[in-house]
Amino acid sequence: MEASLHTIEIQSGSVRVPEPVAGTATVVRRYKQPQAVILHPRDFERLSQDARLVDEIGLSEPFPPFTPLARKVHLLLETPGAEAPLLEDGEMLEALLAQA
Amino acid sequence: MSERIGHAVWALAPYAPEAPFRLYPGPGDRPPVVASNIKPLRAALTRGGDAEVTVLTPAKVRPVLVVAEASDTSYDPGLLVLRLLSFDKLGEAERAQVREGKDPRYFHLHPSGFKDLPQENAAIVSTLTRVAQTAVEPGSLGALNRNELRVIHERIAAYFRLDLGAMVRRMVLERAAGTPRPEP
Repeated sequence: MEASLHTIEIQSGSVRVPEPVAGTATVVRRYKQPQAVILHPRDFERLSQDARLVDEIGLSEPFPPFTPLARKVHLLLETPGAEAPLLEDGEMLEALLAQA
Repeated sequence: MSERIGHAVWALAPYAPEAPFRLYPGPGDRPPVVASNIKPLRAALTRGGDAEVTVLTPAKVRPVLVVAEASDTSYDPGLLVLRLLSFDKLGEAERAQVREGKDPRYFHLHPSGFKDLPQENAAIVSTLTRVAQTAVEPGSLGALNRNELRVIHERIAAYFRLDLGAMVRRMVLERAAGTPRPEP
């Protein structure tokens, strides 16, 4: 769901439009339905900016690359047995659990 | 906000199973069965009737920070937690880096808010892990406030490159249209 506005340009000689007024949207109707809206370029620019802003919201900043600290922590916490010895002795485990 | 979210707790936190996989052979004296990687394991289990296996994976009882839980805990009792980095594993310069927040991977847990943690710690954004409620010991070791938790959620989204754009845009457009939002 992109909010950005796609823009096309046409020459003024090919259409007849009323003079746009800043702060006013002129709605052109056809068979009672809105067919087009004429905006002052300044209002259109503001609308486009708002649309771009909405598009950019939700995009997060990329994380910085791994630092030496991050590499050290990653190895420490993602390597089983790096922080503490791996206890794989069944009898010892049972004995320790019995004391808990 | 659930009473657990934002709290540090003791939990049995497993490592992600990695190849070679050690498979529990059932009761008896047999040593674990080893599968070198995922491909032969998938083929074997498909031939075995799409069976499941018990993987022997290391785990550690450690303090973790609860960052989220399922919307309906009666059906999904899982919690999302971050592992903590104990400061006793770091040199003084590294501790200072973490305290000053120079790397967004680490969120310093100020000791004044976490008096029952055995050491000064930081939550590690990259270690998002799902644990069951039954793998968590009752009782809190300290807690973040709502704003601190929001920062952590934002960093998790950034680290894992979650694209929240569609959700945020929809929320902004709904607000602009005056659609009332449900209470959190």
